[in-house]
Amino acid sequence: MINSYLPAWPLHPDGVFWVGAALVLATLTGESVYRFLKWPRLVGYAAAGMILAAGGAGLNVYELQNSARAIVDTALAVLLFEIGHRVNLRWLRANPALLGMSLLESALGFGAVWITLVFLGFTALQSAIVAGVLMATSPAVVLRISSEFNARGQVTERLLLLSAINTFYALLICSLLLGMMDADGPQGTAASALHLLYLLGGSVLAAALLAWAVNWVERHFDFRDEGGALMLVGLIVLTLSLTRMLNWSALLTPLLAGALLRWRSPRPRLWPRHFGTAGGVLMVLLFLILGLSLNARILLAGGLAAALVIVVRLAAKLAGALAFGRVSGASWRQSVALGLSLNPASGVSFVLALSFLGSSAGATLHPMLAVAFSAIAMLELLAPLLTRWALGYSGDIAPGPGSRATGGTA
Amino acid sequence: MNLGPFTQSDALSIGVELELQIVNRHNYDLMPCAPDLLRLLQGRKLPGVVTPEMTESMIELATGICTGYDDALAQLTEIQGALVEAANKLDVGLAGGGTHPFQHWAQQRIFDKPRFLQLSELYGYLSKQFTVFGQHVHLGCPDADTALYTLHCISRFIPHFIALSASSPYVQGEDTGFHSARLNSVFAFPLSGRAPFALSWEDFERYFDKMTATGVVKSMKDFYWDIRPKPEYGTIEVRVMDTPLTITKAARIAAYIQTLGAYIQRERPFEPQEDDYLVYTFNRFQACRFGFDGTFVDPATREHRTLREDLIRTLVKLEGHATDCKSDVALRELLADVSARGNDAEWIREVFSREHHLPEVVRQQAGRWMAPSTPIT
Repeated sequence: MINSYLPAWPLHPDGVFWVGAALVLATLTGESVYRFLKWPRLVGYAAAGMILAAGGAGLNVYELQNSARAIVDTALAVLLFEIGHRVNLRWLRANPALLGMSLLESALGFGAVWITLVFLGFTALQSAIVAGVLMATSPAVVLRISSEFNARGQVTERLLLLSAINTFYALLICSLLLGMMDADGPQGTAASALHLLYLLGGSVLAAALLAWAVNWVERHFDFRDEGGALMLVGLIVLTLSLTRMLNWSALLTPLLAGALLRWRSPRPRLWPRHFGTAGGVLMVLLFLILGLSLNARILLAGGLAAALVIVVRLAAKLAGALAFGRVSGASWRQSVALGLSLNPASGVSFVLALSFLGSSAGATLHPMLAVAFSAIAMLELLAPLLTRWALGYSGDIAPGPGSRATGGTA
Repeated sequence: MNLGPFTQSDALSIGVELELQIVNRHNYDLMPCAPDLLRLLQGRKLPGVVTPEMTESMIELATGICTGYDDALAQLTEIQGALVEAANKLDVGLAGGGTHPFQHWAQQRIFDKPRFLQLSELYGYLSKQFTVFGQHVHLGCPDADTALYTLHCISRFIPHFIALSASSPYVQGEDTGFHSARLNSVFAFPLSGRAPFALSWEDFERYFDKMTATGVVKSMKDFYWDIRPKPEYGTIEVRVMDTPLTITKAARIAAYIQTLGAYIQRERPFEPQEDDYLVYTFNRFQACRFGFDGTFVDPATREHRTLREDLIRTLVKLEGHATDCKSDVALRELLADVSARGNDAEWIREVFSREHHLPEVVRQQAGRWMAPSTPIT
């Protein structure tokens, strides 16, 4: 036929088209909220996901596609490694009040959420799942905002430290809870305890391996280069795949690896923030996918319970920060700012909640997880604004034109 | 504003001020934590004071009045201990060095105090670029005229102080080739340089009144001279030094200034003249640029020699006064610096040539400043 080279009508855009369109929309929204409202870009990315979802392109959080899940896992591995490396464990020894603060804010947060849900009629174990999942302050949000607005000061440093530590607690608690659920199931207590041991031991081993590898590569490449940074991302992704193959924790491993590397060699490292462009794209995709899955429908599904959970969690974290604020050397203003800035929850909590879906009792947990997902969706939109405001209130983000400077390395 | 009378102080007493860098422990860039450090030190009894400086990433410590080297070192050690404890609690590093090697001046924040904000308004970017760190030494003088005499005699030794304390080879991430690049920032200020040639307090007051009448200055604080009289303390203040990397070196340099003061006030060896200053900026530049290897032109004889040679001669000549001032140990250590060990700028360059990483250099700098001092006796 004469027009065989012309495409058939109507056009059928493939997956690549939708990815491209989503990226354009997400960055457009992100840049807009940043420029016109001085809001964190990630709010725009997540909002773009929610808008797309409202248009029918949303992802089903209960049956998340493997490709989406892979992107989320990779982005989180990079972020957790980055925040793990920001943690100076020696600081806790010099200022034990910070350890107290971390334990208290996490315990109060867990307790407050748990009691609220039990009060609303959920079972103890189910309430504990949501409480555990929401224990973490999102490392993604915290890292993003602090570097985007060039935040510098005590509140920022403490926020990063507490986020890394409460993420660690959340990972432990959730592993424990998963083990307990399995113990009720076919496995039995002894077997599930052994499973937990395998998981933790393996993660520590993989973390040590990754830390060693980074340290070795570092002596031969300059991580300030894009190439060196890519190599780092490659190592993290390889480790991620290894931990998945061996059923170790894909979240705990990079976090521990970062902390271990920092602890073992105090030489400062200046890798580009989120490891350059590759990491930057992963960040946009992470928040976009979160927006696509935790869309308006999910947000509303949790209803009053999710809203209540958010409020008591906020109060608990604030109380924890205030209780140890002055003893740890912060002013009242800084303590208030720190308490409020601890609210974000996103990727880690999201993946932790998903991990319960895959457990033996997964199907029965849907109403419970709906509350968790809904809370995360609300926090995804609101908490970054609160954190941004709090860091400005404490003076860590300078007012005026300085806040527009994006800074070099994080 | 009136200059006020020249307070009487114990002749040859000294006071040491050090401006320090506050750095984070992540990438060792400057960190605006001065208000936090000051809060933690509130109510703590110290032999001196800790005060804010122009930007929030700087902090200044000052000893009280010290009798000599041992006293100065003891006071510095006590203040250092308190500062290090507070810094550890905040997970920040404190470092010496005349410049931060890679900070970006545009990112510095002006400390929220009327005087600093006013200066910032006036000087614009200069005030942020003035994120440099110096050591000041006060030397007690029995009366105003002796103070001015000492000031103009000691001007001759300015290059010594620069070369001994130099610790600012890197600025904004680049090797400047200077031993002390910090003084180049100071020079940008309109009222920097040397004090006017006046040997009597009346002459000096007349100069000051004329200057205030022009409306250019309001108080002595507005002069950024290398050495300036401080009438309310009864001292002259030597301000050309970079902050050394350790408090021990800071105390040694203060001891050297004290011993020179003893030599000048007791022997009255020079007859200062305006023409002494013909070579002043040349000598000063040579010291900044080349350290001990710089050329020194003797203001009286016009003879050329290396700064190293002139320093060694002077240190040897001072032996008798050093014993009197109990600064002989300190001066012997400085002699070892001049003849063998080199200054802090050379140490910084050496570390960089080994590490190829400026943040690591700052980390090691902070390690040296924060380490407990071990005075050699």
